[in-house]
Order: sequence, then C-alpha cells, then structure tokens
Amino acid sequence: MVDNTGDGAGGGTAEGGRHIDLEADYDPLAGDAGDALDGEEENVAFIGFIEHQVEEALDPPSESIRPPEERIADLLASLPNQKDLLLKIIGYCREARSPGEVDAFTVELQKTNKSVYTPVILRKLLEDSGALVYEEPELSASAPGAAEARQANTPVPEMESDVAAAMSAGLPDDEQLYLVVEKRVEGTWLSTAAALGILDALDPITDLRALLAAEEKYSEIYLRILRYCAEEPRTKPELNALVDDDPLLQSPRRYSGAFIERLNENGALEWKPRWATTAAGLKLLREHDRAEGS
Amino acid sequence: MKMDEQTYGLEAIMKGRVATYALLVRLYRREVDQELLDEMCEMRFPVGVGNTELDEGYRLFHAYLGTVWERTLTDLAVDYARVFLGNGMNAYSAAYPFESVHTSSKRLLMQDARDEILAIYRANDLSVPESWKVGEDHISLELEFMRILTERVLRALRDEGENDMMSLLRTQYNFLMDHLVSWTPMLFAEMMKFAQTDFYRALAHLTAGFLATDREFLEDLLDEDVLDESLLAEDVSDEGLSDEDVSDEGLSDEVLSDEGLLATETGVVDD
Repeated sequence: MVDNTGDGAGGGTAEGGRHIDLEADYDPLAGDAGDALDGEEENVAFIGFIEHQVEEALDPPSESIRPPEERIADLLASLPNQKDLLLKIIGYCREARSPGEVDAFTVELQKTNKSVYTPVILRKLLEDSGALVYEEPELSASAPGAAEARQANTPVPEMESDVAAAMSAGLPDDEQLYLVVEKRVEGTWLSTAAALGILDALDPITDLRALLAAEEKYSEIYLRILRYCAEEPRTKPELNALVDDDPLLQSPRRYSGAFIERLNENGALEWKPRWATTAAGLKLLREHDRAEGS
Repeated sequence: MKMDEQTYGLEAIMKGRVATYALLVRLYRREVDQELLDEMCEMRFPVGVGNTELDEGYRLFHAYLGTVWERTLTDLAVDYARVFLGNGMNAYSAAYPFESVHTSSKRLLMQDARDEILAIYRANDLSVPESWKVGEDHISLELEFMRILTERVLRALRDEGENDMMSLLRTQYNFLMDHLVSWTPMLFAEMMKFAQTDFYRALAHLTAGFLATDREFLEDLLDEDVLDESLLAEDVSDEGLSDEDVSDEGLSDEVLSDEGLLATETGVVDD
C-alpha cells in the first residue's frame, strides 16, 4: 500500500517520506480515501433504484411470489388457442396421473388442436404457473439425491454413496466396481387447488351470455352458427356459405371466421376436426329457445 | 512388439478406444436425443480407475443419469446450447469447441489450426463432408479422426500389419499431442464454467481423463525410440502437402478414398 505518513503499519523511512511497502496486504477500502468520507456518508448517492431498493436488488422478487391464480390466468390468457387444452389437462390431473398417462391424454387432445407445444412443454408451462405439481416418488427407491440433483447446480451425491450403491449391486470387492444407473422411479402430476379452483369456477354459459349481450347486433349470427354446427360438425366453407352473405355482415364487412373464433374462445364451438357445438353451446341454444318460446 | 502375445489384448483395447471416441464424438456433435439417453442409462460406469478426471466424469454421469425424467432432454438441449453455442455476444460467451478459437489471439474461427487440421485429414485420405457447415477443427471432428485411425489400427492388427499399425499409432500420438492435448484443457475449463448440468461437467471431466489415459497408452505402446523426435518429424501427418491441399475450399472430392471421411445425416463422420 502507499504510505504517505511515514509511520504506517509497514514501517516508514527515517525521513517519513513516501515509500511502497510490498509486504503489507493491499486493502482498497483502507487508507486516506476512506477516512475522508467519514461523517459524510449521508451525502453518498447511489445510482438508480438501488438507493431505495437495495434489498430488492439483492434478492429480486421471483415469479413464484405472485399468487398462482394470477399466473394461471395469465397463462390461459396468453395462449387462447391452448386454453381449452390446458384446462382439460388440469381437469385430468385432478387425480394423480403418471407422465405417460398425461402424455397420452394430451396427444389425443392435440389430434384436433395442433400445437408446437409438446405434452412435456405444456406441463412445464402449467407447472411454472402453479397449476400442476410433480409429486416425487419415494426417493429411496431412486438414485441417491435424485430429486435434489434434478435441478441445475445442485450438488450430486458424494463418491462414497455411489460406491456404496455399486457395492450393494452385488459386485465383489476384488473386481472392478461399476456404477449402474438405476432407473428413476416415476412421479405423478397433480393439479393444484388454485388450478382446480379456476377450472371449477369457469362458467361458459355466463361467458356466452355476456358475448351475446355485448354483440347483440350479431346474436342471430352466433346462434345460427351454433344451431348449424349442432346438427353435425361443419367445415369452414360450409360456415362461410351459411353467414358470409348475410346483409348484416355487409357493412361493416365481417366474415364467419370472426364469429367462429369468438364462439371457440368462449367454449361454445370446438374443432374435432370440424366445427361442432359444445355442451355449453347446446345449453345456450336451449336457453335461448325456451326464452323465445315463452 | 510381440504381436502374437499382445494381439488379443490390444484388439480389446482398440475396440474400447473406438467406442469411447465414438461416444465422445456424438456427445460433442449435437444435443442428446432419446436414443442416446436411453443407451447411456444402460451403461456401467467404472469406479476408481486411477485417473481422477475419469473417476469424476463417471461419477457425475452416473449421478445425473439417475435423475433422468421427462424434462431431461430439454434441460440437456438448453445446456448444450449454453455451453457450446452461447449467445453470440462475443468470443467469450461459450466454450466454443473449435481449436482455432483457443489457439488464435483473437479467438477467431477458421484460423491456422483449422488449416492444419484439414491438411492432416487429407494426408490421411479423409475429407470433410459437404454437410459439415462449421469449422473442421471442431472437437467432434478431431475426436472422429482419432476414432477412424483407431479402426484402421484394428484392421492392421487383424491383418498382422505391424508396420502399418505402428505408423497409425504414431500418427495418432502426433495428432493427440499437437492438437487435442494442446487446446482441449482450455475448452474443458470453459465447459466447467458454462455448464449448468452435471452432464456436461461430466463430459469435460471424462474427455480430459480419457485423452490423458489415451496419451499414456500410446506412449507405452510406442517405445522411446519410436518417439524419437526425428522419427516423429518424419512421420508428421501433413507431410508433403501442397498449399492447394490446404485451401479454404476444403478437400476436393478426388481425395475421397474408400476410407474417406463421410457424413451421415447426423453429421457424425465415418469411414
């Protein structure tokens, strides 16, 4: 360190002159510069948000702090085309399901709902949002530390335990020991209470009523499409022919696609693999017919 | 060397070398897929082989493979990209698996090392397939070169071509010392820095340990006389190559022989 006083810890020259002490450890926070700030700390300013949010900067809030209800709602809203699929997976996992079971269930649904998302990725999205949890199997039946080591940066078990595992596999001491990978016992997927709460609170009829009320001018178009698709699943050209020439849709010009999309988003129409009216859509039609009759 | 006494043992060792090089080639070439993961889960990993790097590699592989679940392939693909591809921000964003990056002052691709490597491939009647779109000094190609030469050693061993075999072994040793051993320690250090799964940490340990033991094996096999400097110089693989051989255009099709370096769809080269 640089000693200007001549009586520093490293020992100064007889003249008290400037010298460099190569023996002493350099401490960048020690010395004159630090002393000069004593008593003036209140004048020290920090840049940006750190001044007021030091703790937050050191430990930023994670996504998991947000309630799962919010995160699940965000997920469903951000993937409108997958909303129905995601909700069905949540419903399917009301009981614990193996990954294979959920895979098969999802693949079946995806036959009429093409997606770039694999079943595994859909489950990851649901897990990240707090809709699904992966229930670990009995750890003792799996590799040592399996659950912990699944996460990145988690230390793996020590060599001793691996050797012990190899020994327990029945290998004699005087021969080469080998580590044998024990297949991890499969866990199960289970829907969370928050996800099931959202699923159970869904009321497509209410949403559909709100849709028809909001677009009262086009309610007849909506109902015509629902009735038509209730007879038998219909193709898009058939629906085009059904409503596109309607005078109501000429100005402003609208096409069947807009109505199909809204009915689909609100759970009244589903693609399998033609457009078909759902149970909620049929219920709405019955409701409407009763109202018309009375 | 007494071939009669050693042929059987050598053949087994060479087969082991071929298999290990092949596995390493595959692991560095691209992300792990389900087939490879299943195969690796069936492997046995030796304990206490006498090389700390190998031991650590085997231990980490075993520990990681014991945690395989439905998202493992995605995790490994993400880590492969993180370790070897990086975000492209600068030359220090990943453990770039090219010799040129680690042997050029500005960490650039396609530098002298790549030219030397191409020359060596050509000198050994090998060429890089058109489907190979990155530098020829990629670690997986250098390891593949070692694998192919080991297969040739095996053939020479079976044909009792002792001279051929010793020549091939010397070529391997030279290549190992001049290239793989010289730059891969830097790659492994960076792999340890960027990897976030024990799988790729294990790969770094395993490769380091294997190359070290392979070097020892070759040194044991080639006695001191054979390793004489003058003899090594005489046997350098790129002997007699003209400048045309080391062009940026790569190796011409004419160079392809029946032992040419061929490409498969996966990019793994074979002979």
